[in-house]
Amino acid sequence: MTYKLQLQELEKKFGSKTVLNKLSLDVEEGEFMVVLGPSGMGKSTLLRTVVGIENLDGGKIIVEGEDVTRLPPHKRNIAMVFQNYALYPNMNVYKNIAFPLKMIGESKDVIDKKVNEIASILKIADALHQNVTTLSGGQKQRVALARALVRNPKLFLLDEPLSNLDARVRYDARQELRKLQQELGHTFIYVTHDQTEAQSLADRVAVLHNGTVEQIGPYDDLYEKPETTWVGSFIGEYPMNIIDGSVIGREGSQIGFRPSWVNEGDDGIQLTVQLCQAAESGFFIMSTMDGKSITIRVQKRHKIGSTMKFSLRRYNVYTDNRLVEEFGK
Amino acid sequence: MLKSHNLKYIAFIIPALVYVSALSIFPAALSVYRSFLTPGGSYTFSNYSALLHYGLVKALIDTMLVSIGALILQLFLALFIAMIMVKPFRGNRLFSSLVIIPYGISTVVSAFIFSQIFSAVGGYANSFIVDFGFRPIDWVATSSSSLSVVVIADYWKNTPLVALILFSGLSGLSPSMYEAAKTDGAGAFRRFFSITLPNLAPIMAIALLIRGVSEFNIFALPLVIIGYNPPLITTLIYEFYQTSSTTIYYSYAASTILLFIILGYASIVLWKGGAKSYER
Amino acid sequence: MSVNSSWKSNLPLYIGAIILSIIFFYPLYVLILITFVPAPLNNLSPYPPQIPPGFTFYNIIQAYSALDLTGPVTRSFYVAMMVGGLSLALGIPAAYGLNKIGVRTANKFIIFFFLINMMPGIVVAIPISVEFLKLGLSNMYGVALAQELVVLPLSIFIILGGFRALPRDLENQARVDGANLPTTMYRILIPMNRSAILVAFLLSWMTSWDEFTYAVIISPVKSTFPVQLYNYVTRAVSFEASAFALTFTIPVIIVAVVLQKYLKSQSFTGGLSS
Repeated sequence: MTYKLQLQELEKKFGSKTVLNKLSLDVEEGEFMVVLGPSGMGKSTLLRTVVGIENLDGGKIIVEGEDVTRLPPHKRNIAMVFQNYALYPNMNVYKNIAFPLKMIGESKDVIDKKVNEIASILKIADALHQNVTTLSGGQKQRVALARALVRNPKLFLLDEPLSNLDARVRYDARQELRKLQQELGHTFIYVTHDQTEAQSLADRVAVLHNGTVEQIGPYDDLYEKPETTWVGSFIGEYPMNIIDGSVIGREGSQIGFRPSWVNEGDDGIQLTVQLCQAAESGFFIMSTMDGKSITIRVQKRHKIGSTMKFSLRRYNVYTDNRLVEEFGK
Repeated sequence: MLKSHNLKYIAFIIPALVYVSALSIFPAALSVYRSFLTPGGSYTFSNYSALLHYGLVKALIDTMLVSIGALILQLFLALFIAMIMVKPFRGNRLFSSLVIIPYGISTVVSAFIFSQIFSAVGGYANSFIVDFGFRPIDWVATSSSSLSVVVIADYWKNTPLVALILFSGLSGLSPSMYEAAKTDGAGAFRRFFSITLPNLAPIMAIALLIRGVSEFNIFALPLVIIGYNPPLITTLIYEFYQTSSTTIYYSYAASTILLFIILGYASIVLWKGGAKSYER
Repeated sequence: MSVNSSWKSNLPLYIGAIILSIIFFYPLYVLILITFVPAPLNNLSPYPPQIPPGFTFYNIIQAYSALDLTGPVTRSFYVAMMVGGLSLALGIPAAYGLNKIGVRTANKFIIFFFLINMMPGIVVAIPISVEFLKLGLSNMYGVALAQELVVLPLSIFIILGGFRALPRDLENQARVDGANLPTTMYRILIPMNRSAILVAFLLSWMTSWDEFTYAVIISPVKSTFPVQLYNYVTRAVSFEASAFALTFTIPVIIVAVVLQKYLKSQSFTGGLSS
């Protein structure tokens, strides 16, 4: 099977700091790939090397089977939407969108047709002759997207494109972006630190940690069976609880479980309630065990300071922080 | 340390680097080299010994006096101007424009004007003096009065730049500092000496350094106003250059001396400035 | 602080402003006097009047008809244009490169450029004139090439300030959108940095228009306006010379006032960060 994009052992250092550490990743045609990771983990650097504005210290970038590692950005035909949209303030909306077409020498008629087409898809046709500095955040994001889409590139890279929007606008923009990608069938690589975005947008999510892909797969897989304890504690609204295996007789390993994977009962593991939070799905009890904080979800409210017991309906077993067994699935 | 991808960008700087090197380092080196040559092309120190005979030392001292005098006068005036420029008052823009205008006036024009004000006989300055019933002064009669005229003429073109530099320094001082001082009961003089001056000192130093070098190289102004009498180091060099194909070698020698004075001054400044920036 | 604070409290301020205004306006006033007061009235006594006793355009007319004005002015204009153009041709790429290599390294280059700038004009001008004579450059081209030395460091510095104020991703975006470096330069970077570039050009232009040392040493005959003025002054044709000086000072005063607004407001560094 051929991939749309193959990244092979990418390496990048800034001074003595390793940002990309033999990072490999394959992206399929038409896929919405979300690269998820905490801030400062090299997500933006990854996109910048793929698009060609940052040089690599090692590794290969292959687009549609062709090695583009040494090509300058303007010869790669990859579009990118920057976090701050990078609209050209010296041009109006129309000229911004037309710019990539002008660069490949399209005729005036073609440019006009394509710009109007993409503008109506993105509902910015009315703003075409506005100055970009007068646009709202949502409009700026659309213009940036239109500029990326207009020339039909091989690949789209998006660097936290929704992070500058208000919560409400962001929600709508997310839905639209997903719909747009599915309708047009483009390949998207989308970088974010926001798990909700990853969850609602991605076909697959690549979790970035220490400059490399720690785990890749659909969001639900990452949630259900994180392959490392780090992914477990990173993914999810509440981190996966990781406790010493000895509590259930599995010496020498660790066990991980989500807050909802427990049954409250008369025997099992005992804890003291330190906090009890009501939510739609029940009550979240927070406590500490061997100095580590744990969170479980139960159906009854408990008083702070009281003790309770629970058993594990389901858990993952980790040895040396790596998943070795799933239990109770 | 240069990273490899930096090399690509250094290529953009190279034309400018080559340009300034070819047109300044190379000629300067040529000057130094030729200062040790006779017109026939053999090596000699005679160019330097001839300079002593032609009054090099006095020219240097006079240049120094003019530089120091001009710096003090300009700094003094510029400080007043800058302090008025930062105050909000009706007429501020008019005032700012008026005092900035001389910055755009050609040195030769300004020299011409001052030569009309301070002429040997008559002149506009003497008109005042005579109007008030005093005896007119021959401004170019003595070496010291000639130098004073140069110092005075120099304020016009060069004070505006110093004022602009000090103005940017003053606008950077926070008003809350002054309000605090006022609350503490500090009067205007107290505020000036314990807040304005110490905080302005670094930028004043910068202004002094920039102007210091230029003052030492002052050329057009003395040439037009007082000619070659008394000579400053630059007019001395120019006179040698104009006189004959032999004396041009004296001008190389004098140029070399001027060059090393400036280089010495600049390295002291850089060394001091560098030390300061490390302290921060 | 309010603009309308009472006259009384502002009195020392106004007195200071008026005194300084007089000190700075007086030389210009003298130039106007010499230009517009009829020559005979000025010559009645060696002590010329401070208050104009008469008014005439005769001096100006005389200056325009008797002296060669168009030659030096045209030459000055072309030289100033060349110097301004060279500042941009050398300064824009240099500033672009300096903006890319990191502040620390860039500052070392800047210091080098300004050190070169400290080199005394006359020290450099004499050997240059000797070499230029051999190369056939003892003309306006030679003057422009030499004057560029004076203005290049400041031009680079000003344009660099403009580039530093631009959002970095704009250039990247243009590269991603398919523009090569020259196109990015021409379509994005230069238009976005136009105020700094304009200021650099105007400053270079003005400096060249005023420059005397290189002009007089490299091309003493058929030279620029300041050299020509110097020649007239030494030949003691002061009324004509003053008319000459005044007419060609006016455009530069305008440029200076325009630039002062830019320099005072520093809009040329921060105005484009949107």
